[in-house]
Amino acid sequence: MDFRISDEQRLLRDTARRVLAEATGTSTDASWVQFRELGWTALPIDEAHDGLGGSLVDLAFLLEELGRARCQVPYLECCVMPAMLLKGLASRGVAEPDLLGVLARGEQHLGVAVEERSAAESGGDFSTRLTATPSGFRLAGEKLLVVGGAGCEALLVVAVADGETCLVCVPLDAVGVRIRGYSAVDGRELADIEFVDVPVPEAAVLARGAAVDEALVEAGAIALTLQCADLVGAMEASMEMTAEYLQQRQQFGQKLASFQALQHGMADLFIACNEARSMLYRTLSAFGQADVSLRRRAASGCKVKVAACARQVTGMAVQYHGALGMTTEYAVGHYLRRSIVAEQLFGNAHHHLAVCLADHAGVAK
Amino acid sequence: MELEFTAQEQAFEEEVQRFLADALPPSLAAKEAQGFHLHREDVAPWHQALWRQGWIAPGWPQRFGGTGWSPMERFLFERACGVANAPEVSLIALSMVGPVLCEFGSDALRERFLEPIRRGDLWFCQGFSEPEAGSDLAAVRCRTRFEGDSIVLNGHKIWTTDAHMADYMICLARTSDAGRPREGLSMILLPMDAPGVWVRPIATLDGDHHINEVFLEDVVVPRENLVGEVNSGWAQARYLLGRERTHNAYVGMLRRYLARFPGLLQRQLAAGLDGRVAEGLLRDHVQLSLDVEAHEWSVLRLLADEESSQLRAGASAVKVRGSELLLKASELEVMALGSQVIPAMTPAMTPTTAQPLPAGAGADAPGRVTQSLYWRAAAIFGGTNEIQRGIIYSTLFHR
Repeated sequence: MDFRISDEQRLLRDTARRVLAEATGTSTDASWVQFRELGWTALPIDEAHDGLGGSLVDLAFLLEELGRARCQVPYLECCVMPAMLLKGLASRGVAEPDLLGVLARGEQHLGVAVEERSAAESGGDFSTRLTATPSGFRLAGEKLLVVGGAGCEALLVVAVADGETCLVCVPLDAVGVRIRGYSAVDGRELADIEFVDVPVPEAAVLARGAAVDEALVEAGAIALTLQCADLVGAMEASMEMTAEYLQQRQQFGQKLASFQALQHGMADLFIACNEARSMLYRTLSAFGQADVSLRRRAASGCKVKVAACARQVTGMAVQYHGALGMTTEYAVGHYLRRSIVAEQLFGNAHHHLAVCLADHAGVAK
Repeated sequence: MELEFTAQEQAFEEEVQRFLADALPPSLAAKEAQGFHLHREDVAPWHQALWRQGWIAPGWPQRFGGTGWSPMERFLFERACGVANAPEVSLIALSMVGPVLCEFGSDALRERFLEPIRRGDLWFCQGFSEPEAGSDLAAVRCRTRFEGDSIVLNGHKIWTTDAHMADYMICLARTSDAGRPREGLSMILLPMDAPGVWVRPIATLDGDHHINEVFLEDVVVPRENLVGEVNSGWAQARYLLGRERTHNAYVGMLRRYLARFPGLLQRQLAAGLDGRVAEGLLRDHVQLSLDVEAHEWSVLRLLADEESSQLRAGASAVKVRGSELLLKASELEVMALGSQVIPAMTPAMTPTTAQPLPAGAGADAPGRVTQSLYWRAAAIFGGTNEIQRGIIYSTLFHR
């Protein structure tokens, strides 16, 4: 065990912290350019595809900084997640038209369209259909909550063909793609996307069957873990901001920081932040295991714990700021909004606790 | 970053587990698991086994009989012991007196005490707390008078664990009134059979006897029993606190609770517990397991010395969480047993003895409430959780 971060990781973290702090107000498009120049779009991708071959730990450090800066760029959802899906397919022998290279070079961003109206959290039973017709494939269905979906060049769509899960790459400007963009509670851009008999060339059907199912589970576990890294960054920033505020704000002729109730409250926020970080490390460690189901379960457990800590910390940060914390003008409340969105995205604590409980099904039945 | 145990550490853990399987008497493990306070004679065979193996004093310098283990190996050893229901051995002697003597004691004191402590021949109790000096240790009043080659002590110690079975007390006493209160303290090794030592048991909520008050009336101790320099007791106490950063994290004990809960729940189900109730309990158990995993990794981060600026806050954080999680874990067992835990029970009660268990209590019931009540003390001793939160705040945020 060695928790010291390498010089490269320190450089990544420090650069990210500085750049992201300066970048507030930058448009998403301009940010993507910057992310590409900094090598971040290449980070999740292997050298063979023009990537930098960064580790999951490297990515976690970067995601922490994105959370800390409340960055609105859908880096996790439109760069890391599609990269992980494609890597998962590649590791199962599925050839792909170098979309990994496209992602690494920052030429395009790919939304990942999984969630649906009914089967949003059940997984598997997708109603989006890919059908073979005499004139080629057609895609029909509706995907919800595609983070960054409207700002992408193309989407990786999970659909069902002949009872098999398949992954289809669909350009956003294809005939029959209808996009309804909207904002999330924390200001990030989402889209619901309808596919009305979208013609799909054979080459755009990237993979089918078990390879897709497994790659989805694998990429899902990674996304969940990195989402938790984002939350760790967000909650630590809101804790620090709160400690600072308690030093400045005077009431009853003294600093708020001089009241023991608030000091002990801050100690509890540290304990929560500390445990969330520990849980993140424990989960990153679990990715050394070969068994995908173990990694998935570890990621689910991580979400349960980290989401609870984030709720506590970002919520109390608002409380300790008093009325100021309730305003949109002040930053602290935006961390609460971010953690509320993150908690529900990719399944909330109840959902993932149920995943963990499934291990123990033998006991209570 | 290296987020896995090395092959060497994994091999070490397996070696410890094999030793535990061979050397820990099953009857002692069962008694320890039940959770009543163990007596010196209960623990003696295990102490002997560890001594023969050369593992009795892992934390001591090697030249005084330590094992030379890394902090991570010590953690793995303690965790394996906890899971295997090994009892703690003579904690005060091995974790406090030994290290203090190794660091500060004269050759004569080391000669007299270290080997008997390792063999298990000498038991110690810790005489720090007083009625007016609890969390505020600098307020210790216990008076001393130097007379020739002797020190005469007068004072009143309280909350003294195992004073009724100890051979010696490591007594924190006031040797000077000059300067700041903390600058006038010394540690003195005091024989419990000396004239003027009176031990009175204190009954605690858990129904066991483990703590006492100790009255010292003109107790005469040889001058050489004072450890190190006069008035250096505070520095010695700080030294001890600094090197035991994670003892109170109780990872082994928590793992023990987690490991046995599914079995306990299954037995309750077989005995008629409602399946819907069991589902709720299981849910709490899984939630607790996740909390314990996070807690355990906080401990690992401390052991690996992740970031020294946060060490002190991190150590206080795991102390707080260790005690909170233990309480939760023990209460979960109590909940699973329901009304079976209502009767007051003693270690002597089994279904077949002269003092039988009440009809409603199953074999899992004895000790559950006793142990759960005892864990409230973990949030109090070693600096209350409120003290720890104060340390966290002042370390990280105070300006």
